[in-house]
Amino acid sequence: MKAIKLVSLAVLGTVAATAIVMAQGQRGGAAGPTPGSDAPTFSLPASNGKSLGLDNYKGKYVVLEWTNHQCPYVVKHYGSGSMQKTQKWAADKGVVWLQIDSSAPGKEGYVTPEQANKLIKENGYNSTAFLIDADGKVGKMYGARTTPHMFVIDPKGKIIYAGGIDDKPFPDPSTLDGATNYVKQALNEAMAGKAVSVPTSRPYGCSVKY
Amino acid sequence: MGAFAPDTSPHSEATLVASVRVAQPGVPFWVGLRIKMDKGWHNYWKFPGDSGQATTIKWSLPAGWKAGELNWPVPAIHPQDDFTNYVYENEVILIASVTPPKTAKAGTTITLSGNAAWLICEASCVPAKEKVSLRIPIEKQAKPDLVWGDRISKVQRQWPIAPSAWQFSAFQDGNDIILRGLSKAAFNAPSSLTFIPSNGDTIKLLPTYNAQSEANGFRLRMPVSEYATKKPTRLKGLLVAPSGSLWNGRGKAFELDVPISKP
Repeated sequence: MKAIKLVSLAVLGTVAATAIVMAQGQRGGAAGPTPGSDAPTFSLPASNGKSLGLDNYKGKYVVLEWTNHQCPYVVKHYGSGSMQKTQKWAADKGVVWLQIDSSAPGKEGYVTPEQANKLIKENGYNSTAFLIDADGKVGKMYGARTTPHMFVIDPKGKIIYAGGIDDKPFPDPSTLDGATNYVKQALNEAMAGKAVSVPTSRPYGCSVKY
Repeated sequence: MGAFAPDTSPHSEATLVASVRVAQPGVPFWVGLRIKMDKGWHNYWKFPGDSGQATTIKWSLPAGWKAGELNWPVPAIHPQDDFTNYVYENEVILIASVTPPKTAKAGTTITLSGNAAWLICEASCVPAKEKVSLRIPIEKQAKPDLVWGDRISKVQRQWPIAPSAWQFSAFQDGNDIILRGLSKAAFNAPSSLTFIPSNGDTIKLLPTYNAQSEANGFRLRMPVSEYATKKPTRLKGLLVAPSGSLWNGRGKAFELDVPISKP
């Protein structure tokens, strides 16, 4: 019996799994900034041709969404329309939403500005901008590990949420039912002047393809 | 659908195998969910690690039949892209005990089936699903399946074992959890002695931890998980035997569940 596949992933280019040899008790890659700390500033080329970063949106809530359109976990959120809905909900509340693609050229998820604009159009992304972080500098600065990996930044430039998009770390779209969206929750709470009840959770998804 | 179109290449196949060719009413036997994988691809342990997803099966059994929990062979530790995952490559057989009711009728044949789901990955991942089934005749006397019975026995030797001839304790020291093992004999802790936690809230997932010898034992120092929402109270997981050896001559890993106390 052949296995029935749910979702297709064409691997961009040839990618060999890299075995990372680690010294005992250590690993490469520093952990990123945690809730309560200042969001590191950056500037990246957007698919719309501009150069954009946090400094363009001072005084606003900003959501950073690490993405890779070929990852089944990202497909769960977009194929269902759920992520686009959340982006629109955020936009209606004056929240800036920046998608960031830290895939290296030749690796899964990497897109040129033209390809990104095609994705935006075809899939109805409602983000403010799609930023291309081809050398992975910004992803590594934030400790972005998975796609999706979400950060919520308040108008004072402080990170108020960092981690998984919700509490259901599975690629199956049926798991969107009843999931707690930590990004929406953090924004709702912060905008109401309350403390963010869940400031961090384990990010889940495919590894970022640096 | 543009970027979200379905893929057709499988990378893995799932089937059901059993330790018997013929089952006997009321007598349990072993059923294995066998997943064969393409070279270079892997799927995940019951706790996949920093990423990935555990294999599951939803059984569809005839009335009165019962299946126990899946038993998981000790996985390989797979560092990839700065993640630590716990995986199987080439082939994995996840085995459950299945018990026919005493009222099962000799002379009939029944079908055991299940919906299996797993995540198969190389550099990219593909969610996989397959309905698997097996027809088994019932007779007064069970008959073993010599081929799969033998394969299942071999896999069972890769299951973790309960700790014996060792005493284990754990305590928190600053931002680390220390696992202490004491045996009756002298023990030199090699660097290949390591731990596979069964959840992500207790210790940080690393392919190796700092192992130090003590008289008759060792201390394994493991940083607390960056995702722990409260102070961890128990250390659960597999203490993997140093490479090339087996605990008590028979186990690839001890399955531990140790309370974490103050020093």
